[in-house]
Amino acid sequence: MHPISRAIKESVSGPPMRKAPNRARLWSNQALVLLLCASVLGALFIGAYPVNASQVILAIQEGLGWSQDNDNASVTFLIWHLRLPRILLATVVGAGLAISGAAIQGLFRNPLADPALIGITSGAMVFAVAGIFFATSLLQSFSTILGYASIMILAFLGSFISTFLVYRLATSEGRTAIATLLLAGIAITALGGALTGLMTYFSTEDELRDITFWTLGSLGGATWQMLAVIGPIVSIASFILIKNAAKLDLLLLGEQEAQYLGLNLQQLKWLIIGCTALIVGACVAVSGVISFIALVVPHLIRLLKGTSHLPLLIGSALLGAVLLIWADNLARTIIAPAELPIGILTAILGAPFFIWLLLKSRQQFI
Amino acid sequence: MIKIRNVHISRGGSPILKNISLTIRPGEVVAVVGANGAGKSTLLQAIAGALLPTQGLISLNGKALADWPATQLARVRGILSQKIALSFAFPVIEVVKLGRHPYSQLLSTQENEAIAWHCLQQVGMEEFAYRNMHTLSGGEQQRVHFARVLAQIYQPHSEETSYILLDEPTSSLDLYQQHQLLQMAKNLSTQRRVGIFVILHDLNLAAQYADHVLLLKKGKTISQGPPEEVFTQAHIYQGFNVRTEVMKPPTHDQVFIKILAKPGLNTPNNAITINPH
Repeated sequence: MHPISRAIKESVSGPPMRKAPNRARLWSNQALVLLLCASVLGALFIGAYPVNASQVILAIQEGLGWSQDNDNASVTFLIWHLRLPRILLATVVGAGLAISGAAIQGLFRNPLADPALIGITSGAMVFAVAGIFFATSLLQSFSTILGYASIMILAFLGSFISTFLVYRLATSEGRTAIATLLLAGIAITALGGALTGLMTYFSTEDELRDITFWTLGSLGGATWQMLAVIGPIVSIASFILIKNAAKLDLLLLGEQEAQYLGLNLQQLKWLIIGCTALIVGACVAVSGVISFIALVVPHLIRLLKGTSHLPLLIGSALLGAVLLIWADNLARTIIAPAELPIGILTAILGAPFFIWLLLKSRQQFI
Repeated sequence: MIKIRNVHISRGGSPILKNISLTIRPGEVVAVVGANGAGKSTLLQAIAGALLPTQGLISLNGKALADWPATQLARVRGILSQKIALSFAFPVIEVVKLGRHPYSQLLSTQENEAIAWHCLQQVGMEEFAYRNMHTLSGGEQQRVHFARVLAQIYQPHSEETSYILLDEPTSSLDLYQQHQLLQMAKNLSTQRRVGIFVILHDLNLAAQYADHVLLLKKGKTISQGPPEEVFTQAHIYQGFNVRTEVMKPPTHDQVFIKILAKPGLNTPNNAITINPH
């Protein structure tokens, strides 16, 4: 018998294979899926106008065209056209931001890489705002699928260019210096802020309202058309990221070692940067700047499930969706009947977390 | 067999390696020694396929290195680098499993996992399997990475010769671990006919474990051959600027190198002088 075949046989049946400690299995994906379903359903009941279970069931049946009941029309409108799209948008954006955060952290080999902190979101925002500012003709058709798509393409371009810039600035000889990475992010965010400020200064009243919406972040504009565009984009890009999870694991060893193990590094880089830019661009286009979800969620999942990228990416997507749904619930009830922009809320909650993370990893900065 | 023929390598316009020829045969330990800046690591990177020679040819098992597809090359040669810092906490067994990546399309997950466990056992680290790499000492981490490299070149159903390239593997290890690691490498070469290429600083370790030694200085070959031919007082002085006494006791079949004096202390030409300006 070939010694290796014997080794395989021995170790499959014999002693060396040991059981993993139980902790790793505690937070299974099934638990997170259940939590997500409960959050989506629960969020339907939360808001300024109280509804009961039978009204919600009826509204969903009507929305799907299964029944017709004119008495319930206003509740149906509330549930089917306001709350449900908004909750689903929170699901998609939360999942998208968190999974892209996890992927970009894997690529940069750094837990502090957040699309918002390193300027990717800012790049997307500048391009989206420029779209509003320079092409009012575009805005007239903005509420259509085509309108969303064109703003999304602009936001994608912006996020792609800024990701590429940040990467080129911060990486030399296969190493990404964390300080340079964050500084590059500051520089690009500053430039983005200045350009956005300039356009704000010269914009009309209507444009100003739209621009403010983008810079503060909000899920308020959610529609089914929006979901029809962003849903497939985020799903496909996330699927590609998940398919490449094992390659992100290799990068844990460093770029050189990963290449020694046969990894096509250039291809992986472009794939990750492309997918992340696509997701972040799409999310920014529909909901503006929502920061810190991409930073906080992967960190929590790493604590719960470890660093292996397959469970990390899937878990991040699930938990990101749950977290953004509840953040949005808070945003639309905390100062009811008015509404807090969700970007402000996530920043207020996320910034202290970021400071804590900085303190924790201070030694690594030197 | 890895054949390196008249290889020149330049980086940023300045030559690093000049006209290097070397052969790594199956079942042989080849040690490379030389002062800092001699080009040892550059040579390793070239053999690994990470650096292209500006001139000359490197071939592995009869095929030019540049013609090897990345995944196939990863199955026949593994590299143990000097310092590997994991970017995130990762369990030991998962690190070893990374070595099985080139086989993810070839074998089942279960088979790959079994081989990873077997390799971890080979370096005696299986009880650390679920420990976080960051909590291990430098020497323990080195052994885990060695297990990962072993896993990388474990190629069932293939008679093709594989190679391991080690970049100063003993630098973070204590005396016992140094010999343990080199003995494991030696056993791989004699029992499984693996070709070993190792960069060493300690000439006595090289004399003890290597079948073939290459002595480099500033990118040029000073001497190569069996340890007792390479390690002469003249060669070592040429390569390191250090006076030595080379002994071969009749009771041993290896040479011993004793350092006679530190450079700069008794050789006035090399004495450190403070510039009065």
